[in-house]
Amino acid sequence: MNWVWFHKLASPPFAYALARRLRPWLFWPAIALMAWAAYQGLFVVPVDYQQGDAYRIIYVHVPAAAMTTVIYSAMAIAAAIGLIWRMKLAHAFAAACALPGVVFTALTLVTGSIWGRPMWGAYWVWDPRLTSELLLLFLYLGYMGLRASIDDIARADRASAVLAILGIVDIPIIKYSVIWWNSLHQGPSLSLFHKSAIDVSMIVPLLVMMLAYFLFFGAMICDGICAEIVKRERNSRWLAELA
Amino acid sequence: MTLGATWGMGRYGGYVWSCYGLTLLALIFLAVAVRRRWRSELNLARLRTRARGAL
Repeated sequence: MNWVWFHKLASPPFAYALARRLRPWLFWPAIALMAWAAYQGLFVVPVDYQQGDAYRIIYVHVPAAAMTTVIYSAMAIAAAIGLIWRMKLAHAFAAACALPGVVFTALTLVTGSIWGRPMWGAYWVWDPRLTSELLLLFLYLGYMGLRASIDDIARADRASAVLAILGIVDIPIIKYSVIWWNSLHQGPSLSLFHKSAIDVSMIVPLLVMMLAYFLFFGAMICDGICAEIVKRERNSRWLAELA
Repeated sequence: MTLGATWGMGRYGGYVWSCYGLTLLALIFLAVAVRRRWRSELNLARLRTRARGAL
């Protein structure tokens, strides 16, 4: 198998050019899909027989919640690759994941709280799912804080990579908290291996919104990784020619 | 469906619309923040290149 394309990804000029080229192809489809899914979620899908119109919040809450664990897993894997193979671009990718991770996690907690008020009668309960998600927010903030507190980029990469790898233990806790413990939070409604508990008319906009969030995250990574590459390649000739 | 009913969504309108509004604001913030960070790093690199050229 020809691995040239993979090795090329480790080249900052190649990765920078690729990210710049990819960004609009991810961003604009994400916006279009988001607009369609939001319209469907707000105006088209039928009212839920138990939750009434309040369930429409799931179209922004569930995809954001799914993104929080996907982003953290990607960040931890990239951090491990950077730490083991000393690949600078893997660290750059991990660093670029942090801000989208914070925003999606905060969004998950806030929209979940707003949904919880009419459904549970409280904005916040110390439920295992909510608490482990809050811990994830602190992990993202800790990762960003640790990076910001160390001036030397290589040391910041190593220290933050260790934190990201240790924090991965929270991901299965978030996923299985509703199964392992008595949780107020509802169980998983979507599964790769079982029939969904949600009706088809309601699930299609949800899946489209998930895809839209994923593409949007990809676009954000493109900008984030470009910022990281520029920061790390300040003294390189190719960047001087580009700048 | 009337505009009032669409806005009200039973008695959950305030919850639903605030969630969608906050999501929109958060995604705009994210898009602007990462873009601005890239631009500011690029401007710094430009300034460095110019400063080196002037020496």
